[in-house]
Amino acid sequence: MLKQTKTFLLVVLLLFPLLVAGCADNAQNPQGSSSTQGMEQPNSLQQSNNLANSPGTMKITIYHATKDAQYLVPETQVISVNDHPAKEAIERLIAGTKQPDLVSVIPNGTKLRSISIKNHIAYVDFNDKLVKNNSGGSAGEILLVGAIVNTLTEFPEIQKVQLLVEGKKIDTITGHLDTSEPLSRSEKIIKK
Amino acid sequence: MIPQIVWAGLPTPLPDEQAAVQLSGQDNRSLQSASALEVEMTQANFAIHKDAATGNQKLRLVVDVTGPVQASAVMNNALDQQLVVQVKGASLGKVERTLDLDGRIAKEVNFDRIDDSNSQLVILLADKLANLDYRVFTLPSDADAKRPYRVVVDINKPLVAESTAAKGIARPAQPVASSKAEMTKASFAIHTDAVTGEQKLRLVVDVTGQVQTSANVVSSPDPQLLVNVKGASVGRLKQSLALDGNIADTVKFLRIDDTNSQLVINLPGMLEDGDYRVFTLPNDSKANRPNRVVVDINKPLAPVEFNYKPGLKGKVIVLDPGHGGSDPGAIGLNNTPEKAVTLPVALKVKALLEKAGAKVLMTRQDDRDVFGAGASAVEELSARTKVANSVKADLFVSIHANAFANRTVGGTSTHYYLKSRYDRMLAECLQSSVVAAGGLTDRGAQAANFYVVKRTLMPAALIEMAFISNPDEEKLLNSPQFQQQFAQGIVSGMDNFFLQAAQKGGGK
Repeated sequence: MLKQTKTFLLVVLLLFPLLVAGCADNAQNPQGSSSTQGMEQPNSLQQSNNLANSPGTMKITIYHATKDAQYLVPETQVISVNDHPAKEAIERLIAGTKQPDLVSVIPNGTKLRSISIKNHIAYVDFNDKLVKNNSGGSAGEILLVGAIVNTLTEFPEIQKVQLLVEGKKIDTITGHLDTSEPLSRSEKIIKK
Repeated sequence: MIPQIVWAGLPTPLPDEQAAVQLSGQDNRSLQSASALEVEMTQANFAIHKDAATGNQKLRLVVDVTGPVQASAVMNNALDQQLVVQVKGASLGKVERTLDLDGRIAKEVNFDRIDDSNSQLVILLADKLANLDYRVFTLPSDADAKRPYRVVVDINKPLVAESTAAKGIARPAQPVASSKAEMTKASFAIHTDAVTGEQKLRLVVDVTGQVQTSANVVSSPDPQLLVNVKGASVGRLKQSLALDGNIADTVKFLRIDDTNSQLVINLPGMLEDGDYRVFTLPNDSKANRPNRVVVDINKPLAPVEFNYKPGLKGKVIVLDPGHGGSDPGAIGLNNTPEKAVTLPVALKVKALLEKAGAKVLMTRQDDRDVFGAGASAVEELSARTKVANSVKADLFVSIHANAFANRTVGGTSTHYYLKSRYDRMLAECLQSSVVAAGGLTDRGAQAANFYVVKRTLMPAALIEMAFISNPDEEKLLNSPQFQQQFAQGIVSGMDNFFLQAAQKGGGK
């Protein structure tokens, strides 16, 4: 509980410069609101997503790992309204987090090549650093795939995510997880 | 990228005297509270926004209000196509009663008083549309930007092809506050959890109003999940819809009476209570979604064909030392490759099992790619599962070492894919035994969408012995003594598993 409050304060502090631009009313609970989203509660997902909180801005939620490599934790960021919020969300995910209690999951050097959405499936294409600069280990692989899928399925129009590397479907990233098919959101990996 | 804005109209502020006249028309009660609490509309304006990339146009209507309100919208197809936006918590105030709109997307908006604190915007659309793409939401006030509370209505310009496609059924006149809801659409999808790989079928039925649901499973005449939907007729839905044929066969839409229906879902086998979930979702104009009834059904476990006896003697066990050859796996700080510690542990397990009378097959016995040099990742993994599937092994156990960016993380975990009633049991038996033997942090038995445990036909587990990225645990993984202890833990875990599985019988 205490830890959550701390994280919450941190998020607020980090977002402060953005909040004064007019989103304070909607940043009340960046943690709680998103952790119950998605597959299990599609409704709450739609409520907190994709909404202009003030003209010109919108909220996105990205996911980072806990330091013990057990869970993902949502981080809400306010971005300016744009045509490709899903792309922006992945770029923010790649950029990582400044929260000291969290660990970024994307390997160094990873770049987003493209993202497209078709029939509610997001096809997200990374460069080969996603694999080559991956330190291996199934813990990291689970958190990496979970963070990408959960970040994208925050958007109501995305139900599933197909991972691509250098334009091709990838069956596995470090040899454990099966990533050959479009994947849906995972709630269990999110810290409650 | 901010949409290019083409201003097509400007707000028309009302002269003060006109506002006074309107106010005087209200009763004293509302006048008294008006100054402090009463929320009212102050102005309305609209603009056409053109998306710079797609060129799609939308009309945005913004109504300023003096306090927070709630807004919801419904379509009214009765005469001219109308979008009716109800604004709860605000009177019309000084706003003009009619505002002309662009004429191409919508003709005009009329402001109707409902009562002292509730109003309604009636937007006359330019065309009759089967599926109008609109969004209604509210924005809070923003002192810094000097903006009041707002109600926003976005209406996307319909694509010509869509409006003539007549895909949407021209629905009969539907009163705004209708209590007669009906089903309009049913669809399903199979979802695979990104982490655990657990699969479920999700059936979504759109309804035009709020409903209540209840559900139960019956076994006779056939296994069926019955979902009662109170408050909605089946509408124009076809009598039945074929589902995936694996998790569920078909759903039939049964009429009970004018306002009640039942979904009859035919199942290939019986479901347990925890294997399905039925719930409703309210309409969400922001995401352009109607009220919905949602039915989730978990993928049933495979019928169990194993009949285990206690003991290791005579069992066929496939051991899979993780990685190998061109694939080093994770690499420790002192350059230990994962492949170099998984093999010695597996060989030690093999020796112990053979001593106990089991038959052991290894996916690799030395440092090599199982499929062959230059194999793709999936060829390599399927070569490993093939070893176990081709001999109809009793168990498949893959041995790995974990890694993570934070080098202080350590501990042991065991992973399974929930494909039979034995997989989790195996993982739990192994996990408790190897944690006792290795003495490291217990990270638990976890469901995981791992290729080798998913695609093996027999109960299977993947053990992450320790974190090779953690220098202390890297040292342990290299120690023959730790390897031997850990191998003994794996063998005891298997022994426990066969005992428990035998007690469970055929798994039913």
